[in-house]
Amino acid sequence: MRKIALIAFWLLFAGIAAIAITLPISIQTHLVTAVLMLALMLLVKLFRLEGIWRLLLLAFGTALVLRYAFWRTTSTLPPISQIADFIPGFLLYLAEMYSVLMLGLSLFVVSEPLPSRPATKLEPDDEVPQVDVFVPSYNESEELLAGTLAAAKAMDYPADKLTVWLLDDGGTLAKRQSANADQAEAAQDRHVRLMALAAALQCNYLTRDRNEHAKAGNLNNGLAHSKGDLVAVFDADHAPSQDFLQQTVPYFARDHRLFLVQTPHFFLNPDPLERNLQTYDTMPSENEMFYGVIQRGLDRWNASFFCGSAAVLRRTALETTNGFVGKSITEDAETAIDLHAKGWNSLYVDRPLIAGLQPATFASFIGQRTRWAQGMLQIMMMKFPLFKRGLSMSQRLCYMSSTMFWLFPITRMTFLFAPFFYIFFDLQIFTASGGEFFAYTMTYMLANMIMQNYLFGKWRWPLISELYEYIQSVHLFPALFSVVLNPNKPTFNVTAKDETTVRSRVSEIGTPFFIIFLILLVGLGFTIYRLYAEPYKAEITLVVGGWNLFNLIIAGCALGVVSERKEARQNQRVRVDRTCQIRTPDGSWLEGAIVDVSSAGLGVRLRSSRSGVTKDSLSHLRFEPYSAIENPEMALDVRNVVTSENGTLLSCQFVLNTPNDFRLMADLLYANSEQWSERLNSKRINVGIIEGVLRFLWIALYQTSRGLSYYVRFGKTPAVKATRAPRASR
Amino acid sequence: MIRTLSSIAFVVLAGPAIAQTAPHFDMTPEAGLVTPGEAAPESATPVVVAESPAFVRYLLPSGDARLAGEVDRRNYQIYLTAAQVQAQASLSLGYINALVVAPESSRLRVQINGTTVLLNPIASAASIAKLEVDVPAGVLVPGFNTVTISADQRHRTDCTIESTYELWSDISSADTFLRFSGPRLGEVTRLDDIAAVGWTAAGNSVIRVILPAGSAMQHGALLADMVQSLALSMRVANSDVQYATALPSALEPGVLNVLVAPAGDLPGSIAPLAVDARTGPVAEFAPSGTNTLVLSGPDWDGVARALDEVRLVAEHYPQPDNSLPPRADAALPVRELDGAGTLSFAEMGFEGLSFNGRRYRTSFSFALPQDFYATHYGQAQITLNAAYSSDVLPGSRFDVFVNGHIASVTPILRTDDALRDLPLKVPMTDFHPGINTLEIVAALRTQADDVCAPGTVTVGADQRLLISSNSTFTVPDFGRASQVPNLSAFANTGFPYVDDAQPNLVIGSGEDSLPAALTFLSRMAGQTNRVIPIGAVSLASPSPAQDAIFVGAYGQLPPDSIQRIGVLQPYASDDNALEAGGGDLDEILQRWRSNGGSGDQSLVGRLQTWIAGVLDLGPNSLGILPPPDEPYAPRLSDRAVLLQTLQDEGGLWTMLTIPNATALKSGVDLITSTAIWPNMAGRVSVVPSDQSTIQVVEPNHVAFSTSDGWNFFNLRNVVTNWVSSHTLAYALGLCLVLVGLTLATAGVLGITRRSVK
Repeated sequence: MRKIALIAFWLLFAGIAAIAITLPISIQTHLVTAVLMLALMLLVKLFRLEGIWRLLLLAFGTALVLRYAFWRTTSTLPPISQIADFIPGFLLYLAEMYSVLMLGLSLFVVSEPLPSRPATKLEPDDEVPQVDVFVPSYNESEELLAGTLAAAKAMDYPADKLTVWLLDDGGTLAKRQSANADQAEAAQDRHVRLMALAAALQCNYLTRDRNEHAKAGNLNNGLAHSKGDLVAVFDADHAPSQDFLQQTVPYFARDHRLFLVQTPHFFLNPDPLERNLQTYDTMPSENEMFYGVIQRGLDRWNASFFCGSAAVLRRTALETTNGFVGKSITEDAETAIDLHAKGWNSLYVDRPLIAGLQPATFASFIGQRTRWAQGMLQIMMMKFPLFKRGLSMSQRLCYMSSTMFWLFPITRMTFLFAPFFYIFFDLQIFTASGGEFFAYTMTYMLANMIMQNYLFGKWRWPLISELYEYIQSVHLFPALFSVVLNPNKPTFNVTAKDETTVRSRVSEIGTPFFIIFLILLVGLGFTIYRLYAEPYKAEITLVVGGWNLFNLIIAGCALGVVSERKEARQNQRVRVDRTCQIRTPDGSWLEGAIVDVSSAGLGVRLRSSRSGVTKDSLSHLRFEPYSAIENPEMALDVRNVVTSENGTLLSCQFVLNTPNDFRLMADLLYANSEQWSERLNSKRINVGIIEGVLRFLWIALYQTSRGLSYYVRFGKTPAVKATRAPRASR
Repeated sequence: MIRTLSSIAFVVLAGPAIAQTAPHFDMTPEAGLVTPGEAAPESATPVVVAESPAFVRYLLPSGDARLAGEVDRRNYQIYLTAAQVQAQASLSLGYINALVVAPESSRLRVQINGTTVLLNPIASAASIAKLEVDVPAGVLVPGFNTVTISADQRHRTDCTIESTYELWSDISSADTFLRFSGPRLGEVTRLDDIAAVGWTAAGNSVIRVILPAGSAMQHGALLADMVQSLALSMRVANSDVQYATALPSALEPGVLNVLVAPAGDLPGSIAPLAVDARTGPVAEFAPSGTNTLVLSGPDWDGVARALDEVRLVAEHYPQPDNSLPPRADAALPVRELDGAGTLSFAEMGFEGLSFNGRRYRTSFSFALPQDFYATHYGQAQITLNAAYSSDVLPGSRFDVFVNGHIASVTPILRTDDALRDLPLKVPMTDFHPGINTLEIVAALRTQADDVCAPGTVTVGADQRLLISSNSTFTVPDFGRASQVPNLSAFANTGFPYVDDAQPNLVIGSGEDSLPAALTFLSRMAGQTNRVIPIGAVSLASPSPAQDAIFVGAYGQLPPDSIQRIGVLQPYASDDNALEAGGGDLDEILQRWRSNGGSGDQSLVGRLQTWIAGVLDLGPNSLGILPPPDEPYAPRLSDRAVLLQTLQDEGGLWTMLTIPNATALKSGVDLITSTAIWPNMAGRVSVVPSDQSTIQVVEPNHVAFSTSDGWNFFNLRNVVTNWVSSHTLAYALGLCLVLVGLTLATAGVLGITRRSVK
């Protein structure tokens, strides 16, 4: 009863608001209203008010956005009789309305993100389900897999209840019997070595006859050969922390319809943008927004979805869909939507419990994103979530938000090219005066920025979304079209994560960015020329020219993204503090502390300033592992020694030869998920709109010049494959 | 601006000859015309004074007319009797033009019913040229004839757009007429031909009322009804009601004598009609040949019934669909728009054009309902189906004027020879109920004009602008809500008196008050095309619950009415307000406020005023509670003041008062002239002594009502307009609604929340 009353109450107010917002009021009234509401929004943001204030800010922002949409719809479209104006004008309008729709959906999703769940673990009396851990692999290196398998094996869970499976798709029978003799030999070699690795780490090795249905097929093969109640999936480069299962498995006992516990993907290295713009240490990473806010928002509506790795699933649920669903190339989300539609629940644990690797080069980054975008578009086309039976209304909206998001390349490209219609071809595709543009468009953009910053400021700085969208759009745009033309065509391409950036260069797929930049630059020139030559059009020229300039700034910044920096240190260090002992050349053990760890090595501080350890020597390390490892001692290659009055600082590289070495390395790097949380939190600072924009402008200015100079100095060169796995290289 | 220019030209040209005035010629300051003693240029045909009996029918119903700029035109509607059409007719036209008008490329043209009767170079800068041509047989028709006088003028030496403002030709009203040869052609014998009475050389239609002594006040309501009905039947806007005691001895052009009396009081000279009148109502012209209409009957009731026949005349005129019927001084049909609608230019009398000059102007009219309420938001749109020659430079533009106020400026951004639609957005800010006039001005720049080489000055080589008659004018859906006080609706539609309980007419105590009041009513009827049914005429203050119209000099109207309607003692001028106005400081302060000062001098008040100024908002749009409507203090020098106040008891009182009692007649004539009357607005409208701009005081408190119920869409439109003028109310209201929505959302989220355990 109370529920019905509340909903009626809500509908009443929503109705009144809708009527009030769609009154075609005078521009002055709109402007006064908009300024008042923006001021109130800023107050809420400034004092970081939460709870009901959050909803109020969103209500104000939404009202302003809707006022813009109403005005845009009723007053700005060119007359249909001017077909040359109308067609591009209408396309731009559609792109804007898509943005408004996406904003609405995302506001719904993040209207009230669930707070992080408290830490949990299996209690002594709890039933302990049998868990199968799947590590699917296609072409990853032995070293990479060794770390992941070692970490998986080291998870805190009763050993008799835990089975770790290496699901090797690189050594299938079909590959081993390939017509290409070289490939067949490589596959055979891989098959043999990985079997040995698995055996050494006490894991199960499994491969199959043919590579059918890519990753989904591989996982289903795993399902067919195992019997555990739960299935944990880790990508080959995603090493779990020791407490992964403790933090996830208990939920399955509390809800018998729970099919998924998803955890965030945490990365130890920067993505190409972070590396090339050198923002990794200060700015929140790209996926932060998704795993920090959006998944929590989705979780509130029981719509958190499977992201392919770092998750635990229930076998009985998967059996209802005959395993992982593989019609699209994003089998993860597809499986989740099917299971949600069958009434199963999902859950998201907002705590980094795995550590993985970002694609190292821009090209591989784009390759990964192409798969996601194509896959999500496939899902949208094949199982249009809004009408998918079995989903709740809120789940439908959430899935619409998740899948439609990937249409952004189309709008981003539209916004990029729209100013050209006026600047170069003199078409009037947006009929508004300068005053109207100011009163409606500027207030809309401000409201949008305030909302974005309020909602996502800790996880995403201003204009960074635009940059990420732009750098992906250039190559995703044609990829999306190929899906529309043939929804079944895209194939699963495994993202390469083993490339290195040993020399400065421009990405092999970077050329279009330079061409676009050039066109935008010409547009800027035209703008200036037209301001001078056609003063009677100055108002509209300034508006369109300003828009073009904005595009130019983003495109300039993107030049820096595709100009791959030479990176001395391939792997980022995680700060730790663990006591250890280092063996000196004379055989004695010195007390010290491990201060940081990366996938390649570690730093040790010795209290003694006269340790006797020298540069480029081999030493040994002993420490107390979190998990039970018989021989907690490993070899180290000392690469640098800095001696000061307070002690000695050693920079060492792992020497990973035996399974035990991998276990120790995994224990150092992955065992403690707390350190990852700290690192994420250290970057979760909302710099605010003004500082964020200024920072971005500064970055953009610098990166534009760096991008151009790279193009001149280095030119385009292909990526270099690492000779060793990144974890072992330095 | 135009006026300034022309009066300078006037002074320069007039020189020593200023004292010489031509006979019949009206030398008002507006006319700006002189007749220096120089010979007329050769091209003008000298007037041949006819010896034979003839009748002159003046053509300009508004007096002298100025055709200004490169193209201009006037359309008049002239009613002719069958006898006049049969007679031999000639057209005379007198004009004088600005010196800078180039004769070789400037033409004056007169068309009657579409046939060009006169086409003459414009070449009479020195004195009034008088042209005369025969009107071919068959051109004139019995009933209404459309006479169009148009000028196409080019500058002698200058190619700039600015120079086009120096171009003018003044048509002299006294010298512009149709002359019919033959005896007694000026006589009107049938009631149906009453519109053939026409007007005087000055453009006034005189209604001379002759009635038994002492009966005027007693039968004031009947007279009020009569003069309004006559104005409608004659289709004139400039009627002039006078009194006479004796029957006229001769026919005077433009004068209608009306003898109003029961049969017993009729003079013997019209005996046959008197006989008829004893048995029933009579509404016929006396056979005297002096255009004397006799309205009579057995008694005064019979006179009232005779009047019904006059009223029928107007109803018999052909009336186009959804249009106001044409008027003598506005021959084009005026379409009425009751809601959203699109009118093609053709429907508004525009026939399409091609133009080779620099500044093209065209205007047309449309009518809005009395409860039009949408001036604060929304835009009408003119979709101009036009082509421009490629000579036309971008940077040329269209200006749109609504009722004389600039409404929009639209640059022409693309020029080639293709016909294409150019939308001109026209804010509805200056729209008002009743007839609205829209003027489109194209200012065309070309390379050739910028260079202005000799030989290219006057002769435009090619057509530069082409406007198709299927261009359209679109009014969006608008709110319908009657408001009082609203002088704009009153002046332009007679609202609300035309369809309300009969208002009292209260007049001043002076002798000339009644003719002035009747002139006022008949002019208003002529302009609004509606009759206000007057209940009674009195000198005393009516009951405050009763609707009333007051006309009179300030000192002659009942003082309690003056006080109730809120008008203070007129004061001499701004400078010596203290001495002149008398009264205490409060009163002076009130005067100052009512003259436009902001009442609120607090910081918030000043901030509101500043923001309102920056955003071009009306006063009080940022206030929450409107201040009271203060009494108005006119200046003694003001020519006329019109006020409207809703009495607490329910009566709506409208007062036309003239501060200076000696100028009663001229004040009424001035404020009701067609150039000024449509601009009345707000709760107070004042014609200042220099007549420059009408001063308007907007009401702070308005009573709304509606005739056709508050359906959702109308309510939405009305609310939109209201909040567009009450900005802060909208802003705060929307915020409140959003707070409510937020609370509701929080509630709904609360019941659907998911546990994190």
